[in-house]
Amino acid sequence: MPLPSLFQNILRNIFPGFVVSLVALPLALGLALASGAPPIAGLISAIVGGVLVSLIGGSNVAIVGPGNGLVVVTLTAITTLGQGDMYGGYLYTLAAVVLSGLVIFALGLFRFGALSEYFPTAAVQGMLAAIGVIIMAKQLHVMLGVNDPGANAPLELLLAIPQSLARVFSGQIPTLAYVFGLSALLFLFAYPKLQWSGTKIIPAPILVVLASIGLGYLAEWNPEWIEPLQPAYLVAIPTDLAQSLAFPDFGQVSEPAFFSAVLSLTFIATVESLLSMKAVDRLDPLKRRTNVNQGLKAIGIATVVSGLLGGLNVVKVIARSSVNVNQGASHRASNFFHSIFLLAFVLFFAGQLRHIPLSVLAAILVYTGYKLCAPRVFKNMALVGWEQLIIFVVTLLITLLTNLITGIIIGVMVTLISQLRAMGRVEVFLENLFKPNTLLYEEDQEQYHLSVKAYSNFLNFIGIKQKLDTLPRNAKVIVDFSLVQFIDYTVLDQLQNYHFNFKATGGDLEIIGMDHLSSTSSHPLSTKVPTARQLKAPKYPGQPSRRQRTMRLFAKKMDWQFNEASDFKSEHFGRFQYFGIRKIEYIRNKMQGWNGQVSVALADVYFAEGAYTAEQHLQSTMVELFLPQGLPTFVLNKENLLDRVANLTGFQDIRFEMHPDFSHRFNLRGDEPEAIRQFFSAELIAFFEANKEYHLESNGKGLLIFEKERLSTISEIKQLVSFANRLAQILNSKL
Amino acid sequence: MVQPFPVIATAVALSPNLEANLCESVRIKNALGAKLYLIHVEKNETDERAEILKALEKAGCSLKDVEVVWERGDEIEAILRVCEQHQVNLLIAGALPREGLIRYYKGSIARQLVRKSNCSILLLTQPKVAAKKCESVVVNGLNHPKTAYTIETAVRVCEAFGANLLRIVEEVPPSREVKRADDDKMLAELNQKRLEVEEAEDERIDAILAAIQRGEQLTIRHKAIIGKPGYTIGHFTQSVQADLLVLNSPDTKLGFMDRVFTHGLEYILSELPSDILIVHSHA
Repeated sequence: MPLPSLFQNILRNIFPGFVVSLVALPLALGLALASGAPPIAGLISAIVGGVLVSLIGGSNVAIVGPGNGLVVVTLTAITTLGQGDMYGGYLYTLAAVVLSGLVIFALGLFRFGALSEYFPTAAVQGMLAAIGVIIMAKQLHVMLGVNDPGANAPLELLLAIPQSLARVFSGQIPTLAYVFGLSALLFLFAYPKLQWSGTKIIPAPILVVLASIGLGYLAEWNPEWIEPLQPAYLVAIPTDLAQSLAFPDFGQVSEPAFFSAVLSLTFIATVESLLSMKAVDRLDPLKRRTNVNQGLKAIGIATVVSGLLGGLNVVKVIARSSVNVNQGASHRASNFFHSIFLLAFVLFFAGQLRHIPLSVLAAILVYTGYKLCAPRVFKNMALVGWEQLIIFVVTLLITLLTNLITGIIIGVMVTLISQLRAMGRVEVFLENLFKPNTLLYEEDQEQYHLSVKAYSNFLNFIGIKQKLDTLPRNAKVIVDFSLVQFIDYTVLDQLQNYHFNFKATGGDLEIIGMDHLSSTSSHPLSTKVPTARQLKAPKYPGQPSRRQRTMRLFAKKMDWQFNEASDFKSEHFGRFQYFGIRKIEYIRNKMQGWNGQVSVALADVYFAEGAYTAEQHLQSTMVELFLPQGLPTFVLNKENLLDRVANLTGFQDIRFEMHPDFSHRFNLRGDEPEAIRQFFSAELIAFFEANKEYHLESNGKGLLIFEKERLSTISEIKQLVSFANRLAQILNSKL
Repeated sequence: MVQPFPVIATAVALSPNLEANLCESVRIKNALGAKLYLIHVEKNETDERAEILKALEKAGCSLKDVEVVWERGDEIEAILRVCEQHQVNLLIAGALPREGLIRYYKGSIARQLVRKSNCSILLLTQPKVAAKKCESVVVNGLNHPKTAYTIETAVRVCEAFGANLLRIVEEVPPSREVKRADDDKMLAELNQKRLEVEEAEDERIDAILAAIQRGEQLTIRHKAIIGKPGYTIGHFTQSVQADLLVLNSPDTKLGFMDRVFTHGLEYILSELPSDILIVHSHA
């Protein structure tokens, strides 16, 4: 399929741009109001941002505009810099916005895009939840029609809710204000549950806004029915845009409060944008990878221009981007059109916009704030593990009590302390902190092995990330954690994203080698901690890993038995020559079934080589076939492959004149050449020729089959089982 | 090259691994057909000699096979002095796989020997009394004048020990072109560049291998891996569970600062992934 031309792209992205602008309009107005800035400031940042970022590049389907996270820091900046004068504070804050834009540009220029990788997932979630609480705390009052709740700190605001309710019940608030607010909120919660085909196309916010505008006009025309809302309860849009543009006031550049404002704005804008970019990449229908540094540069420039014209910080936003994708956007043109439509609304519908009640915008913000801190978020954290819930709650509370920067710093520290406790060995942590701990090499064509050592957590995930980012998008990757003693939730969470991304582009990412660690909860992404004694089978293995569950399902499909428990006394596998010089410690994840008269068993075999303190622990996924009657003893290997069975050396390779290809590829040894020649029928040889070269060994009663001295991935297991089954079928026919 | 190490020596000390070290030394001597010296630096305890001799007897080697050199003084200096006197080509020493943090900066005897020695060194991390087959060997393929000699030595050692797999790892330091992939376009360029680098590395190693005579028994594979030199090959050795890692000798004598700013060989010395052979080039 030829790629659509630029012109086609532009045409196709006009409609998504229009729908996004409908969502963005109330959000831009509301976020600016919640930030303590004039509502037009939000529109300016969306318009300037959309136009500039789409022209500069560095994003595909992501939408830019004013962001949720920035509400809190912007409001703090305006109140502290203004010292009572909100408009003055707004002008000083604009100067901070311009400066933060420059810093964000520099961050992109000096390639600090990886910065967001250093924050533990639970702490970031806690910070986002705190932002949700703070937005809700303020906007609940506005939604009830109380524009000045008389408090500023989030906790005070929450405590002031009863007072605001009292004011509503005592009739001090115009009826339309809180009726609009409350019904809008109810509608927003109910809308996604409506089974109406339109819910997918028409966004709820624009419906509530349109309805409230319509009802507002109705009240204005019929004041005898109900008292129309006074301008104080409606959005203020200036009549002359050019005249009303605000310009930054750099008067406080030397104040410490100003620098703290620049720092907070930069930090939150960067983190929010980077998180959005990561999330949007997963939504992108064409699965492109966003250049994060280019993206930062673009929003840096857009922020500078936005600030100079009186707008707020420009960030990449996830909710509007996902609407964009749902509407079929495929090109950054939709971001551009979303801005153009917003501009058109302001220019041509300013009169109608002035009829939007503040309480309706507040209801929309309460709804978005609620989604950031809904009980579901707490529940998900608790499922991952109680220690993640603690990190999450601590970050949330500290953020509410102090500010975002302190909150995230404390969150990182709590994470680190809990991890050091779980790891149990501080010196291992310190020793490896600044050492590389990843190794990536191409195992086979297009198949890569990424081995990780020591421990893997949010501080060194960047190493894994950098390696993974260099792989072709259709690569098959095996992430091997068998040399690792600790893996945290952040790493597993990120790897899951990589898993989806590779899958979507025809590749794959599988994790192996975690079975020696215990999980802290039943969640598949839960932190993995060392079991009491390394390299011994865990006594309480915890919950099954994803690999184990897939194996169970696979076994079930074939009507085989599956047992994930460690078996120390297994009869299996031990009676082969290969284990003559190696000691099986235990086997795990055994699946077993029958193919005709042949018994087939597959398991992860943990064995040791050598003795004393220096013994080496190895693991491999192996298959054992047991036959009801005898067969000759032999070893079949890939020709010239490592001769795994020292005891059988000295025997010559048995060659078949009729099958030069087989003899060329395989090394066949055994002490009864004639019997072996008889056993290797043309059918069997054709089978081996047509398949992967496994190590195959017969002990006279059964066959041992395996590929590598490491655990196999699910797809390798499927291949191995399929190979064993087809081999068993041939053997059945010989019996 | 017929035999890279005609004269070998083992530094022995009273340790739990003494017997295993002796057994391994004798096995290596037999495999290489070399002359073996045992160097012991005495402290003031009188019964040391007796204990060493007892261990020798237990390990089953008679004094006819080996020559024991008794020395006094600073351990490192004495050992290196004997090596020079007897023109030892290969010095064998036992070493713990991991070093503690403090010991790391000071350096154990074995590691200090590596840092100062003028001959090749074999560090045994897992000496055993009973014979264990050395099956697979890893050798560095760095783009360096010493590499050709090191690879040839590794081939000879494989043949002597009966190893059947030799993996050559060409560590390519991550340069900007093979490290940065911000978007799909850069990713495509990066992979193209990586292919070119790998091809160039493979050609270089093939040229070295062409000049080395060897039997059919030994399988040689080589692989270019992008990663920090020193660290990468160590991790690889651990990952593929090889029995021996063969390396070029360091260009300069390593000092304290090399441990503070870990690089190259120091990564491997701080956490030995297997037995290590450091080949001292005559060139």
